[in-house]
Amino acid sequence: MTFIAVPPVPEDVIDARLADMDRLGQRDYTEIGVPMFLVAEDLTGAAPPRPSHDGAGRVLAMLLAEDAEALRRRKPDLGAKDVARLIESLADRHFLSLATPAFSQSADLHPQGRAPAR
Amino acid sequence: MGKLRLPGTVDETLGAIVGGLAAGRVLRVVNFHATPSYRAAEYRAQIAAYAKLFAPITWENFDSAFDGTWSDPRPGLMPVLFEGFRDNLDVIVPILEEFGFKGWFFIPSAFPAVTPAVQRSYAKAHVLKLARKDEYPGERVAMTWEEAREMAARGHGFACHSRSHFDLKPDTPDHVLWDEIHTAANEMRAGIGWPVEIFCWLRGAEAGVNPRADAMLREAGFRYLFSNFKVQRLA
Repeated sequence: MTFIAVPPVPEDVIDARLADMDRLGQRDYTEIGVPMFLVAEDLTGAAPPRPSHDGAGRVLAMLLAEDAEALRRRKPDLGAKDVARLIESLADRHFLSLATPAFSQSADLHPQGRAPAR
Repeated sequence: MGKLRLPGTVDETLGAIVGGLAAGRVLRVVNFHATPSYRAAEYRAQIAAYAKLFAPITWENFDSAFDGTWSDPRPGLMPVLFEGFRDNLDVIVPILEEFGFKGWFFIPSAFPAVTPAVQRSYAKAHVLKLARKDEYPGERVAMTWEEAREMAARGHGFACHSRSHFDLKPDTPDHVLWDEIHTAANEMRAGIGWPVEIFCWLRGAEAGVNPRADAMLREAGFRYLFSNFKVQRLA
């Protein structure tokens, strides 16, 4: 079996992401709308929240893990604020893109609600 | 951004977030605070973009947004309006309603009843950051309870943002917790007309930062705690 791994985030990409986090942190949070992803967690001991299967969460998880490890190469001791900045940056890049429905399920593209013919 | 407190290590928090995201337990929120009229066009463009992709999370379907039984093919979206500022009602609520969304007002329960003449100094003393330009000179800057009831009647959601916009610490004494939780719950109930089930601390402390506070939140009837990275079901 071939083990397939994604290469580490290149240094220049880390530079760009750090610059992006700095840029986002300079905004006037008092007056702007800031998109964020929150994780649902059930502490009641009852049935845990049922997962959604659209795949967006898994993509976000992989991107966040990758970003965190990349940032750790520059800053070994990550703090809570770094986690907040990482998620904020992730949301800035993917809040809209990962909300787009699958091609075959897009009502705009398929007004009859049918998948495209092969 | 002030000090963010975690109940454990950063790695534990990151692990919980990555695990939750990977399982698809994701809620999408957009956080607003002051919404001055000179930014109305920006808000409108933003909400219009969201309306093409997201369905509104309302107090009626919130449980399903949380527990994964959400049935709309579009992801849900919660526009969260922090602090209870008057400009939320005047500026962004009409935009949200135009596009079919419901706002979620997270308000410190003491703020609406503060005398208008001292609302600005109250805001300054309690980290309630007003818009850079004062659009209500000489007038109140907080929403009133009457307005809150009208918003609730129109389907907008409410959450308790503590009583005084309080920054929870591990050693916050019980008598302070009681005021920030129980008194706040009572003020929200009296102000809106029914209990609210969602709570959020200033700077978003999550469960575990102060276990006495967690127990008191449950005792006061709060079912959900919003924090920096999570929405936690408490009861």
